[in-house]
Amino acid sequence: MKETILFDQGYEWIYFGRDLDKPEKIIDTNQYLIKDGNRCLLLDPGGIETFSSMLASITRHVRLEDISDLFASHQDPDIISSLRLWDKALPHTRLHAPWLWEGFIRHFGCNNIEYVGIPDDGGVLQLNRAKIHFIPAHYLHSSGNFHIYDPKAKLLMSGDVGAALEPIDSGIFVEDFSEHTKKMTLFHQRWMPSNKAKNDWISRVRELDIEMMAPQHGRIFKGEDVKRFLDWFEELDVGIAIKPFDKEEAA
Amino acid sequence: MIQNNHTEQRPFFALAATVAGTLESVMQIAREISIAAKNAKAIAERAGEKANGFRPITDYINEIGQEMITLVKAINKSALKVSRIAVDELRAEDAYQRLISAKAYSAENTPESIHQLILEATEALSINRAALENEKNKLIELLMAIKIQMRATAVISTCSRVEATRADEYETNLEAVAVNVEIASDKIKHIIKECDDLLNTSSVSRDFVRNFK
Ligand SMILES: [Fe+2]
Ligand SMILES: [Fe+2]
Repeated sequence: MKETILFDQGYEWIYFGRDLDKPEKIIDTNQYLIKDGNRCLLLDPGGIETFSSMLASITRHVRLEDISDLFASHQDPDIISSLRLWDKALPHTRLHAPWLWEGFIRHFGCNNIEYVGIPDDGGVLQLNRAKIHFIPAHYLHSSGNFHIYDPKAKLLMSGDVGAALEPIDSGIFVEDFSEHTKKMTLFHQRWMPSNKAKNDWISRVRELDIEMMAPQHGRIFKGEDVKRFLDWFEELDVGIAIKPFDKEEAA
Repeated sequence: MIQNNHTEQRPFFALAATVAGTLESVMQIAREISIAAKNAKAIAERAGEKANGFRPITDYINEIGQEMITLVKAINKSALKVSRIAVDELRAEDAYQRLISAKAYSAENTPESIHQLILEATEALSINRAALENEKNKLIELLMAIKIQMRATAVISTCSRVEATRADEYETNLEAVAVNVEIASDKIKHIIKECDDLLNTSSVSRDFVRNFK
């Protein structure tokens, strides 16, 4: 599994992904760790199949007992189907996830870990030095969905927003934005259901000072590419799967 | 990074993954050994005849560094495999437990199909358990191999010190190389010891043993 440090000023943001050992038909995922002494937060820990290499990778950076918190942006299996395993490996941690999904996420197996439901409006989590914000991103794509914003690191972890489907050996950062849009278009058009939710999110995110936008699949956007992404996303018509039905059936 | 507390309660699949993560740092140290060997070689070249005894040792140190990298890669792979099999085992155990519950629900009238599923689950678990034992043994053998190599490294650094004393004005330089190799190998020994402890404190799937007694 590849890894790279995204931020290192008093605490760290570490990227993990491009797991070469994962079964071929499983979507590649990006995981992030905020390393902050004995209050470390693991973001979108991933599925069962990548659990072992993920755990091996993070133990190179932190002691397991220092992982105090987990975060699941939404309920998808590529985000948190490993919960049963974390529940055994890290029984004393808390899982911060949308309140809406509690009854569903618990189906993955959550006997020891404390489920802390994030209210619809979001909230704040103070680690040691890091203070992170849960930013509402409902319907992007899940009905209960959050992103994480760190104002000090100027980093937005954007879940499935900004995701791209790429080969396992591709780079970690966006290099050529317009080229990259080709790998994002269909994903966003199909997976994101609502233009209204999209535009609401864009207007809120434009208010934030962001140097890096880090999605759960594909590549990380840096500097000007963050703004380029927001402009591109604004222009994109999403929720396309219902369009043929609208036009033909409803006429 | 090795865990100091809680290791005993930690499930085996987590410990195995920790071993893989921990050994990754050995790779870096093995690279340091190779660099030390290259430096030594350069010094020995400059020292000419005075380093005649030392020169072949530098090749040997380099070889050890390379072999160590190969071994550590294999150990990492094996530890990850152990962790994956242990995860599978946990899932198989979950399935088995749930089938047993299903049987309890149906009381005396357990349908044949559930009995059959329980039988299959039992077999799947024993196959998994055998695979886990097998891979765990491989991992232990690999750890053994790296320990043997560490012993060879100790002999080499002693020889290096002896040969360094015969290299006149290059003595300090060459001795520094021997010291570097020693420091690196001490670090590796320490990490391997921690891995050993991790694997020894764990017991493979106590639940399984309990269930099938
Ligand atoms: Fe998703
Ligand atoms: Fe996803």
